[in-house]
Amino acid sequence: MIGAILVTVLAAIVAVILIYTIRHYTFTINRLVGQHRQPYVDIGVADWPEVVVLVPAHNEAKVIGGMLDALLEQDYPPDRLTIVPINDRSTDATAAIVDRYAAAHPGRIAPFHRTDGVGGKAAALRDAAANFGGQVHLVFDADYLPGQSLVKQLVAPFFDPEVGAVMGRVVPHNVSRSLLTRLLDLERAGGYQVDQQARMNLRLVPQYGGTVGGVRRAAVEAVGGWSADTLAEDTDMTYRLVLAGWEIVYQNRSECYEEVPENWPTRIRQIMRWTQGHNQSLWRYWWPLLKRPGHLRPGLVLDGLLLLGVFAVGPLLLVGWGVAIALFFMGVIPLHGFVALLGITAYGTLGNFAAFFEVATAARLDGTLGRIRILPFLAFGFLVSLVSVSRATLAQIFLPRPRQPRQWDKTERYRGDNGAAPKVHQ
Amino acid sequence: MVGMAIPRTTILIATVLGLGGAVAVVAALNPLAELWARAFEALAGPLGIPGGVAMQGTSVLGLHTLQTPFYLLQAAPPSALMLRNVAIVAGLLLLATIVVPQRFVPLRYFLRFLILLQGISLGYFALAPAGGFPYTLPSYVAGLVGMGQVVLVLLPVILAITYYLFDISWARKLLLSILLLGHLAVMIPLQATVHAWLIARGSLLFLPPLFLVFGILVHVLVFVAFYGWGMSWPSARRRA
Amino acid sequence: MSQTTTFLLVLLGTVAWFLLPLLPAIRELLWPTDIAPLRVADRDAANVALFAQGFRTYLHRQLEFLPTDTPEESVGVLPDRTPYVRGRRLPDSLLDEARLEGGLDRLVVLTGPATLAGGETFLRELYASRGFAGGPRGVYRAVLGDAGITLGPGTLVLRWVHARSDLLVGNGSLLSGRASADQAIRLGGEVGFDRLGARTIIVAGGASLPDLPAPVPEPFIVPETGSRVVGDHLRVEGDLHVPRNAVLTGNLVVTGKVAMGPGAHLVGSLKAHQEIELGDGARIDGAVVSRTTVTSAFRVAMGGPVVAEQEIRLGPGNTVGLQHRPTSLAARRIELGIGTTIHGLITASEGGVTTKLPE
Repeated sequence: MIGAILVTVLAAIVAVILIYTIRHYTFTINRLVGQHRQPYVDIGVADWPEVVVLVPAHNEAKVIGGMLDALLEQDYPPDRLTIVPINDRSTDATAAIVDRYAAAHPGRIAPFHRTDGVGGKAAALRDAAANFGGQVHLVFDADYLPGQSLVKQLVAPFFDPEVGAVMGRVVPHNVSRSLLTRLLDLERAGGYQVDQQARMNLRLVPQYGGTVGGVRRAAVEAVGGWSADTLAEDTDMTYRLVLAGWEIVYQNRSECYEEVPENWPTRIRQIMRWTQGHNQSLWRYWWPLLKRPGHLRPGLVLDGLLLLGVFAVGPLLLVGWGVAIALFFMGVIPLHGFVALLGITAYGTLGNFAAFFEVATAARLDGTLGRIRILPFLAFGFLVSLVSVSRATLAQIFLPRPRQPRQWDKTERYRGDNGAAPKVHQ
Repeated sequence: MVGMAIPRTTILIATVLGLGGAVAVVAALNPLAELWARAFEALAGPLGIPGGVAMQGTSVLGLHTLQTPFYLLQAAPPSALMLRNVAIVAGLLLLATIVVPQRFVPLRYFLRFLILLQGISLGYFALAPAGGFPYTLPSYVAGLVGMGQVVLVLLPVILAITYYLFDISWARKLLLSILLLGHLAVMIPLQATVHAWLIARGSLLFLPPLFLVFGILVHVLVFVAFYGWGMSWPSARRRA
Repeated sequence: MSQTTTFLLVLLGTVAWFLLPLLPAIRELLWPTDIAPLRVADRDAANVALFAQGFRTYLHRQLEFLPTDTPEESVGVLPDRTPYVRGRRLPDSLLDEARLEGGLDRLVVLTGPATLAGGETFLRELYASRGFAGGPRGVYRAVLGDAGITLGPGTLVLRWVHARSDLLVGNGSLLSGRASADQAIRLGGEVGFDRLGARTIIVAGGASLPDLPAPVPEPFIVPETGSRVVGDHLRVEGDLHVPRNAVLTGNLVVTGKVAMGPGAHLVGSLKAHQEIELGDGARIDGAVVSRTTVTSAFRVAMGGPVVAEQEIRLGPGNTVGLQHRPTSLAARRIELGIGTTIHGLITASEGGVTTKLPE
């Protein structure tokens, strides 16, 4: 009886894992041979709308200058571009740097200083966005380095009245710092070059990632503005927009450098934060999505659900292993003879290989061949992610979140005080 | 945007090689099993593995019988002393993981996972009724080798879908395939021998962690290593 | 040797064998060959003349460093060893070479107005500081003109062409790569192109087109059934047919097909998940976006950008953009009817063509 129950549970978990495995393979094959959608990338000349670029910043003195310099060099019409560094109660020199830039570039930089209210990036965006007009609001993290034409590229899709949000591609620039940065570079490549682009090709749900991207102000207002009570305001916004009938666009060629974590503790904190934020969205939106508003295709709904569940797969996998181990000790084998052998072996090989296939394909498409050799070391990254995601999920379920002002959860910055970083190539 | 235009000939050749390769491997499995059996016999003496080597026949959908060699030696469940000693070592290792530097966090997690599995095994053997463990060493070795045989059959198909489609020269693709299959053909009996010896000497206590961590995951890692190497090779067009 | 020692050797051998395929990974880890950040190239979507600008800079630098005693009329090699010829006109011997199979393998610098007979092939760039008129069936790798450029019928441009004033392209020519002008590009019939950029891009034959009578506008309200307001646009489920002379205000997103009748006018932008068909004299002030095709009839005007994921077919006399508000036209395939005028940038990723001119 117990064996039968466990077998059923295991079968259900294996089915879910298989769906994600098939999804990985589908996306990778699509990215290789499918018809690639990038309809807005050739909009190079237009009557550009008014844009506000929001740069949330909490203690970003090391990097904020570099970001503002890059934004000032944009080839976007200066009279239609307002740069808003959002200084959220920084205790370092961020406020002073931002004010200095504003004084040097009047009319172009409009600092927004927050001294109270709910803490965190989401709340900062919400408060700042309410104070500025513009048709499009772009959001960049303070440590990013946009190329000269990136603002135009990210704004171009908004000529399509259905587009609610746009996401570009994030590219690590501190790749050489450690094994971790090299692994994260590969993971990012897989996530953007393959995963996001495949979702764009298949008209599914590319995720708006909260940086190197933007939203239509009217769309954000229509869905109630930025949520301050979420750890992942980007995922939250993605789903609210999709449910309301807006389209999310991913532009693979709109690339921007970022800094990735250089050590494991920072990476663990980052992924735990992402997990909890994403799980919040899972909790909020799985049912509204499943109820399927009339304008959403079944395939889109399925992908939306799978995307919501992507951080829940880790704990599910661990539960599955636990059940499998229990069955192992009980001597219960769900299938028989050769079929059992084939099933378990196929699941073990194909299931574990899917993510490696995606990453290797992405790196090959990028033309970065040498780094594919370190593919086996990705197993380290997957192991750490699996544990971190599971810890974060368990903490979220079993430990109440302390009632205290929401804090900034951000990744360490590694650039020196001059904010120097690689140049974007012309 | 960069993508790949896969010529029809590539798809055709990949399909033929994938399916044909799988069929060829199936045909080669029984002769290979004979080789493995002889290797087991050759190793059994120096390693002190008694009982000899046998063949297990598994019916494949009624069409074919897959022969799988295995050691006949038995392993006993752990004694109370063994349980205690392993528990102490596991506990000390667990403590040791606390001082693993942050740079080696993945190692820390891996060791803890291994210790956890060993701990579950300890708990099982400490609490389960005597003679209740459902596996014997011979059936375990047969299962492990059998899994390896299935991996060999699946590999040409997996390569066809995930590797042969890329614009790398066919000579290189074939080279990688042969190296991979050849490597695993040597790896599988060695792995089974190591497992058999450790379990026989140490007791069935070590069977679960060995199987769950050093079983099929080893094959996957070998595949990924070869795959990463092969995918780093330049395209045939560029080299031309 | 004891059994334990033998086992340790077997174990060592097994571990070594296992590590063998990991050697490339370990080597790459310890002695990396590929560790630089991915080259993020700043995209040049708007600057069709990028290559021309690069060539101009290159050429001026090369000419600057020629020996000071190099005559204005000269044949030789540039400082970077590129063979070149410079002069007011091409010497007959080189013209003959250009007309032979294989063509002229020299960078050409023309310092005077030049007119060619036709049939020449230039394997390297050609620069004309004054006006340049190529004859029929010329083949050019790339042409840069500091005045106007006229390309004869049947011309083939392989990489790019840029004119500081106007670029005129004869019937049946093929402009691969980029074609741009600081002022206007005038295209004949059956001209193939990839990317075009200029203040004004005109397909010949417009003078012969009749005007349309001014429409009598009639207000039109989209039926409430099957439509709802989403933010700043109206979403219509299914197809939408806008009647003749109807005037709508606002942005529209239609999940089916859109057919705008003759004289209909949308004061806003339009997006359709399926085909968009615009009747004679229809006007859309804003953007026009289709997941499939955009087809327009006679004298349709669109503010832009105009984007179709498959194909755009513009009928005779269409206008896209305005001179003081240039825009972009982008699709996999684009067909431009006679007398079409586009202000800005045209990108046909799988190729564009102008229609055949009437006899």
